[in-house]
Amino acid sequence: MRRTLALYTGFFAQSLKARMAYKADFFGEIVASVLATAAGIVFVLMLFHRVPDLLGWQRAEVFLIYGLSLIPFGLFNVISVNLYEFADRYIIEGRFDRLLLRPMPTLAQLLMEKSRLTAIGEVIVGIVVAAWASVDLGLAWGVADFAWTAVLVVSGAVIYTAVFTILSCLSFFFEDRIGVGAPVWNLIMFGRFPVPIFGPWIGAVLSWVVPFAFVSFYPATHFLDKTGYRTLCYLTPVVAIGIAVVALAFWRIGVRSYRSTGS
Amino acid sequence: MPTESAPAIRVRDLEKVFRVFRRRVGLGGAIRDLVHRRYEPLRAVAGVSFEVGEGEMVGLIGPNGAGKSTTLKMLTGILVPSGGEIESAGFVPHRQRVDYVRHIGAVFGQRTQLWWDLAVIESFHLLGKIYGVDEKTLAERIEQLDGILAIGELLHTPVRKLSLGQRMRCDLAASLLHMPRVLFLDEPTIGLDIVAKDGIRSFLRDINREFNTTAIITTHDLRDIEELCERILIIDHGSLLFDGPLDAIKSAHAAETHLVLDLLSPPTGAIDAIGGEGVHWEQQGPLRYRATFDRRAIRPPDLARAALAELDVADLAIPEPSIERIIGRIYRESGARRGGTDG
Amino acid sequence: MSAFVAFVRAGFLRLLAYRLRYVTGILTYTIHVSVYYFIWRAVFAHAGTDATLRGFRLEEITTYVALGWVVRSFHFNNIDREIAALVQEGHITSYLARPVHLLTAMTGLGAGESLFRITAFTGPISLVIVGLFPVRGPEDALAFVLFLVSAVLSFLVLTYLNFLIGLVAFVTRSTAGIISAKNYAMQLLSGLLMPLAFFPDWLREASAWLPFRHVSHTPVALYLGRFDGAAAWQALGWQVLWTAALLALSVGAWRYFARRLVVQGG
Repeated sequence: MRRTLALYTGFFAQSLKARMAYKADFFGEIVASVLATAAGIVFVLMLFHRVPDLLGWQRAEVFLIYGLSLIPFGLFNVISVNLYEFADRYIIEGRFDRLLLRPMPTLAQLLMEKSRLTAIGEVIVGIVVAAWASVDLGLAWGVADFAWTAVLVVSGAVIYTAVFTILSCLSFFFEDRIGVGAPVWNLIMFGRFPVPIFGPWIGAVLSWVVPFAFVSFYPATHFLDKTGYRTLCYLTPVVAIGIAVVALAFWRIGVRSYRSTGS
Repeated sequence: MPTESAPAIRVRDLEKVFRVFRRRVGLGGAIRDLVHRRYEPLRAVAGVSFEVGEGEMVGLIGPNGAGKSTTLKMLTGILVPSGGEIESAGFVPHRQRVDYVRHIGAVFGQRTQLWWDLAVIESFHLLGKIYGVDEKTLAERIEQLDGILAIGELLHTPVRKLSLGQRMRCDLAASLLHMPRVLFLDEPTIGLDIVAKDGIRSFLRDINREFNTTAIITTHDLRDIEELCERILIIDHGSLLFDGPLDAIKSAHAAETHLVLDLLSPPTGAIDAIGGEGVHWEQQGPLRYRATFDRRAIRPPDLARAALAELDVADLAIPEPSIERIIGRIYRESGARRGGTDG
Repeated sequence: MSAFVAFVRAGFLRLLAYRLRYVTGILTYTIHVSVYYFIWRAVFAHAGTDATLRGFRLEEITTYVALGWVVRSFHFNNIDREIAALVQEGHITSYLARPVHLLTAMTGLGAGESLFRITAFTGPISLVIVGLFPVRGPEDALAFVLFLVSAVLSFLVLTYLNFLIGLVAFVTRSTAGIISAKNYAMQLLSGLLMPLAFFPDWLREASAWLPFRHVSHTPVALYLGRFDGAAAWQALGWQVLWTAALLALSVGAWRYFARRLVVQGG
């Protein structure tokens, strides 16, 4: 574990160094990532400028869910670059061979090898929005609340990573990419709002199929004065561990069927 | 040439079957492919057995698509075999991958193991961390490898800016940082010039002599085999055709010598007479002729001199024979003896 | 003209290779529309579906948002990225030597792409949307004709905007940030996410002086018949004006950068 951490630091430092070589690009991308997140926030702001609540959910409540979803989302974006490039760079171009030649778990190497540091912008926006919403709600934060937020952030990042790892596993079996990632990626949007507004069907999908509702909606109810979510709220880490186990199982099956046909 | 001690690598009835996806044609076909895919089995490796002793260097040769790379990928733990057994350096590669690859080094000629955008030395440090080589030992090894491979001045260059030869030297060094017991080299000299090839070959000989490193080498360059290996394995259509000493390849190589002549005017007499018995002439173009002969019986300069005296020669060349021809000849001469299984 | 047709053909053909992407594209767009549909449905939950908010009934907002995505499914292109890549990789100089104007080539590629999208993408998405969401038909036949004209114009407005943004690569090395900034500003300001009527007043007034509204709002509002009589023609007139202005700007900007390229070299 310590070796893995040292290694991650090594890779991270290399990524940072490589990125800082083109400073303009680096800051341009931070701006882009902040803007991408800001557009969604501006939408919610403008919406609440005209309407008092969303099916009983107040502005501050929506923003708390929204902001808390951005923190794990940003962390996930830092480590996930290679998951999207997995089919092209690793399977089609055959780079997966070299991961198999090194004495480390392949998935860990994949996630480590490249980082999108600029996604830190999303983490910062998330913290700002969540903090602002929490002030608006008049929340008094105790140690347990901070601890729960840490659980939420880690679980959320694990859920995102696990879902997209499972999708990447498809590349082991199908060489041509039809881009299943994009629609699932867009499902993330649902998870940033109070899930009940999307009705029972979408709610069920977001809870039990692609569990993005567990990234921030359910765990965020810890801070909100809402009834009916207590169990689901504290189920968050269990869901995260569950989907991580499923993802690792899929990954193992994928690696066993790896054909190394790339050129 | 299995040694007395336990072999470094033992392969028994190794098999790899791929399911090959057969695409349908047209847009309708593409949509039907989405719903139902048609597959055909392809036996890339069809029951191969051999052993390699500790410290042995073995050449694995065969035409393109014969199953060499697939075999090598199973030996390195990249591919999971469909059948048979592998034991290498005391491990079952695909089952104990993480522990196993700590003890092996691999160089796949066309693909670098290094990080494209990083300076070589930074790649080395990351590899040091991955393999758990401490900083001090790593520095010593790099210095040692620099001594033989002369990579010192390349260390601070990003990998993408290296020439192919330079990159190959760095890749070789990278594969040796953790002092592997077994080396797998896939086309280690491909695309290099003569000087670079010589450098790599002498380096591999040194490593083998000094550390008793076992190595399996696949190559299309017969010189690699002649200079490095005492034993060859020939593989074709997924099966082992030959397992034996290098002499076989040397004699096949000698027996397949060519002399190619470009003439200024057509030969006046019968060209077949030139060089006498043992020289087989073929016309390959309006004014191009090729002689095939055994260089152990007829010295190439003698034949060239005879040709120059008789013919109006514009140009002459002695090309290297292709590996496919050599393999064909060894196969014929060995009487289709199957190596390994009966040895 | 024949050069333009050649580029249209090329734009059409190069998408054929990615045709399977559109299967998942349909899903992606459906998800987008769903998110906003459900949010608006929640907004109307108390008032009831027959209530009006800022002049819109739920059915109209649903149509407004869904139709915005349908129009986008037709006119979307990545010409900004393509031009930026041409500039960064130095291939842009080849357009100095060619007899084809860069804008003709890019508009042609975009048009070919849109022609492909309208069959492979817009058609199926429209069917899915009509099947899943309570959208309404056009106000009347004239409204529908005006919508079609305006949708074609929206392609030109978007293409020229993308063209101009792509040329920014001549000024800065990194364009990813600017292109994303444009994309997000456009999503919001074009009315793709929310009818302009819901904007804060100052932003709504500002948006009247920006070209973005002609990418989504104008065609959709024409379809819904939100303009009275002459106002419809006026809205279309503004869109034509913006199209012409952006065309002139694109030609001018390219002439400027092309000249600079000749003087300074690549």
